[in-house]
Amino acid sequence: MNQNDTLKALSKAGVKIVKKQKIQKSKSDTIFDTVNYVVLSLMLIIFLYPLIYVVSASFSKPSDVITGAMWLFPTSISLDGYARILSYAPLWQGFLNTIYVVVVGTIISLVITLLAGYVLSRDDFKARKFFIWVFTITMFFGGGLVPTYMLVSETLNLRDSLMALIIPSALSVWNIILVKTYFTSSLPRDIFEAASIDGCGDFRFFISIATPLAIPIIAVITLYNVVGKWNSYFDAMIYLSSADKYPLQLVINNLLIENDVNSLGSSGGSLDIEHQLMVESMKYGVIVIASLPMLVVYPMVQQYFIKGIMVGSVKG
Amino acid sequence: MAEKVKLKKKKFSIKEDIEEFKKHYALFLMILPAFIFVVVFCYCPMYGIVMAFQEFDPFLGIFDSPIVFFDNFTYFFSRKAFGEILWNTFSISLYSLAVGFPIPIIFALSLNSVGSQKFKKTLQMVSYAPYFISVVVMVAMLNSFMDIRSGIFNKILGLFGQPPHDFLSDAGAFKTIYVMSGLWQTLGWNSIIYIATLTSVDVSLYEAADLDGANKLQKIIYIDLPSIAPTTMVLLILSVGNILSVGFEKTYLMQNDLNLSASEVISTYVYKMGILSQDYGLGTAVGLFNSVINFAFLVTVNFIAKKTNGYSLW
Amino acid sequence: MRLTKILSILIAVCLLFFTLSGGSKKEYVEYSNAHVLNNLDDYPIIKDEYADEIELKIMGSSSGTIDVDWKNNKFFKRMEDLTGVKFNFDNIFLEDMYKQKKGLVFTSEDSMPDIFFKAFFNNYDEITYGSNKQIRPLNQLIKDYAPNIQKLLDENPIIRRCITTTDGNIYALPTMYLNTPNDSVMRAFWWINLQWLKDVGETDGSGDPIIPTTIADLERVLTKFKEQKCFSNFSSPLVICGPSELFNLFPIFGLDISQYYVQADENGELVFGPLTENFEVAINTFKRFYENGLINQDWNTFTETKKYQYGKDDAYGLYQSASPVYVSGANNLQKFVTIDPLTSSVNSEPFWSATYPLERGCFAITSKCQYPEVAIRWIDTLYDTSKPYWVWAINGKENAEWHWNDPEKTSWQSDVDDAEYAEVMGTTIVQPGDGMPYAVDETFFDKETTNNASYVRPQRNRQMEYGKVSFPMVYFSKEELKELGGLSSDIDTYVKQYIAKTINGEAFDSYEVFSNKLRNEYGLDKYMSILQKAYDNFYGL
Repeated sequence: MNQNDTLKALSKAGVKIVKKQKIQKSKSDTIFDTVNYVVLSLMLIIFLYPLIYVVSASFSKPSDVITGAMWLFPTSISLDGYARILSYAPLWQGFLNTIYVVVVGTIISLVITLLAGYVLSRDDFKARKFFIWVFTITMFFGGGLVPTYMLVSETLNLRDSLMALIIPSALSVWNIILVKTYFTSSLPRDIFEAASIDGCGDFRFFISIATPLAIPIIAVITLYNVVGKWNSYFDAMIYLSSADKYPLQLVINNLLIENDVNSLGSSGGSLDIEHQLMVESMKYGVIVIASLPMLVVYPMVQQYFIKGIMVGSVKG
Repeated sequence: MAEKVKLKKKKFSIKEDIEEFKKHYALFLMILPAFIFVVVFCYCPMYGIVMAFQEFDPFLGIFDSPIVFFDNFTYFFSRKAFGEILWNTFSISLYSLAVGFPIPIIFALSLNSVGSQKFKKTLQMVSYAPYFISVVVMVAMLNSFMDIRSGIFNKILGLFGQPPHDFLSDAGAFKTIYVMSGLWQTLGWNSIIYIATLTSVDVSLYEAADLDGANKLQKIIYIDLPSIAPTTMVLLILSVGNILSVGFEKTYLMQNDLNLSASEVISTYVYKMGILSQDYGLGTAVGLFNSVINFAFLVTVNFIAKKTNGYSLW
Repeated sequence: MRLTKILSILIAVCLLFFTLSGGSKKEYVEYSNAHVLNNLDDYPIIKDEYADEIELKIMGSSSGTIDVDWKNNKFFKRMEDLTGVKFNFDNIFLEDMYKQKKGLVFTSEDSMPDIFFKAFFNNYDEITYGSNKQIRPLNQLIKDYAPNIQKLLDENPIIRRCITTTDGNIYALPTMYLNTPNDSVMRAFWWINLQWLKDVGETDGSGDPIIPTTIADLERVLTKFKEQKCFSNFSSPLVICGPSELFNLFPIFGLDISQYYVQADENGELVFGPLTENFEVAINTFKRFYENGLINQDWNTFTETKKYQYGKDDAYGLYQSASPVYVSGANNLQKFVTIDPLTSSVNSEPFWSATYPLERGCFAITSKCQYPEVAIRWIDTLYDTSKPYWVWAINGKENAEWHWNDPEKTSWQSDVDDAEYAEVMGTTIVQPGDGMPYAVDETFFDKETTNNASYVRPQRNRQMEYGKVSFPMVYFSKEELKELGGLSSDIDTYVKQYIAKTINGEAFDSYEVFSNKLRNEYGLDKYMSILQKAYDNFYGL
């Protein structure tokens, strides 16, 4: 579209458009576009099929799912799975807990990560190499579960607190490196030099110039943090003990275990197997419910990196 | 004479350091939170690495557990299946990398060149959704798709007149199934960073290219690729730095007696060895071994990257 | 930047020492006087003046079918009414979480509970936490305050041996299954389709079906099943659901490979199953079964849910299950009957693989508990099968959840509707998921009056008469556990692979190569010596 607009504008301004070139362009472009669309459409199908399967399975009778009678669309609709899931009281508390952890955790993470990533991108900063090493080493070498557990739950006394889900995992060196790379490649030195001549300090520069330019990477890091915290459950499993603090994923995990047919025990118990097999369709229902919020969040963030605006200001 | 010069240099450095500090105090402050964080949560627990060299007992603690130096390591290396599991871990990783690294990039570039916003957005959304399927459900889906009686893969085989094949027990197929299903799940997610970087490409570059008569393919090669090159290099380096980290959960769930020759990796093997007793020393030693190898790979690739095209982590 | 480097190292070192503070040595609480307890046959068990101050912190694992909220569980309420002992239930978790937390909770004094209930302690847990003095030895406590447990241990020396560790201490109490046929337990029974036997003509003169007694008979019958009864979607008569079920058929050939692949011969010497001739015969037989389509092609990866799903359409000829209800559905119950163990050309003594009638590691008292005598007295209540208390844990209270049908107490009936069973019982009993520390009188369940129970129990008891224990429940030391862990996981993997691939006809090491490798490359000697030592220790040889 940009191409056409430009051409139109140019021709209006009286510039001659060489038609012959245009046809040639179109031809190779058309081939390219066709191939592109075909391949991408194929991919669309490959992605869609299992997703449709998941949604269908969540609305199907468990027996259809197990025997494979249902392979694309539900052969018989059953809302029992959803009824079970939605009537599970801890589910809603789980949602609230997770939202809290996600919001607070993402804000804290974002601030720390952006600041650190920016600083590391400044190659006039003499201590840069030192800090990069300090950070990178931690990606590989770590003390392991027990020392970390003891640090968090005893020394810092965060046992059974939602903060234990936020603070220890607030920093991801991977993300810092992504931010650093982004700044390094999209923030030319001349801006900075121009600004410092104008008397702009490091911090002010960061706030007023670097950050607005970094919107795409901010969007990406926010997404990474939100999704990461939304999906996490191991930390909750080891640090929490009050059931009303469990985040969503842990609640879901427990829900599935509670309905698993394999925990019938050794001496009888309920002989209503059909009821117990419910877990098969619940597994899928749970995926749908738990990921729905994320699928809603994504388009909101997506607009920040689909936009084509950008960097005209830099050239000026 | 030489010594005098050395001493001078040292003093000079500290003075320089203090000046640098004064000039860029803001930057130091800005990086402080991250730094404190890393020191507390990463370096403090790091004493745990010592456990790799001990016969660790959580009750006796770090100071009182007997030190056995490299015994844990030799114990691990002398296992019968060591060669096979090391190879499995490596090959699964390399396979994942070879397939899973370029494809998100190609996908992002393809998507970026698509004209229709609607198609673009839909495909992005759809490609990103599989990321949320948990490992347990993913494996359950794989089992169901490959079921010998009712799975869709076998149904397709049937259409071509082939007899049903037990994919789940096929050692030869294991790695492909593992890697491809992983690719399916992470393709969309991994392409996000590239798509985001591509949006920061200066639009005027495209306009200039149009005037030069470039077609779409050429635009991709000469504009898009260079713009994501730094990100690509960095992600490549970081990914190589995970070479021995094949996930435990998915592999463990997909293992069975028939495909073990292809599916036994370091993490699952160590888990099985530790079922009767919790050997922290051994677990830490294996983890340390993994870390050292991963780190060595990272440094090597980083070095190569620096020499060949100047992009590197540091 | 030298300055920064120096500064950061200093900070790190400081924080390091900060973190390392900790690690206390524990000593036991002396419990000498029983000033808190009433007489040992009196209830409530604690004296009134102490009733308020005693609250024990309990930690346990809840399975899926019972609510995690033990606070509102009727079993605990009833026990509290009876004994007066109160509990703090903040540490009850579902099995997943519990497994993680079980190890972590011992890292500090604060987080440790007073008692573990449904503890799922294994060999390692007991000897490690025991030798670290984090859980108490119970021998003396039992002598002084637990008459019921003491009596059971005196009457059943095998049980005592099974729960005593190598340092002579009992650290955890087990589930005890009393009055079982042959003093052993087994859970798996094989059911054969009577209707099909009739349909393919395997009947005697009066039209009653003949059940095969030898493996050759079975093969013949299964072949008939396959040809005449199996329909297209599920085309094999013998349904195996995973390698452990197949292992349960090895006794036909005189082999019990379910316990470390070893069993004792007449002289008390352990024999390694896979290296015997019988093993080769067994594998060849199953291989033939597989080739002829008598076993389902995906026997190695078949799941319980699939087993039920296909089974309820009456698609099976022979399968393993606790009851046909779980596989073929309640309406097909009478179509199936258990088969007695078969004999073969290499084995003429029919038997099934069984274990001693207990489950270890269910209850433990930690060193933190201030009232160990109260704890042991409390749990002792559940070890008297002449009293009704143990029944509360598995079936509910008499006249509340079930009732006797007659004054002679020969049969009882549940008052809980099948459809509501899970919901109601989820807050009434605690047994499901196993790991329950109590003594069970198995004959009680023979008296249940449901279709399932009255049909299955007698058959089950009959099969259990054939149960033979091949390897006892032993304790290995920490070093032995570590060595055994490494060796057994390698051996286990190799043997299982051999079995799976050979039966399926896939290319793998020949039997010769297999046995050579096992003998020479898998540390078999060390493996056997560890097991032999434990075996000898157990039987006092």
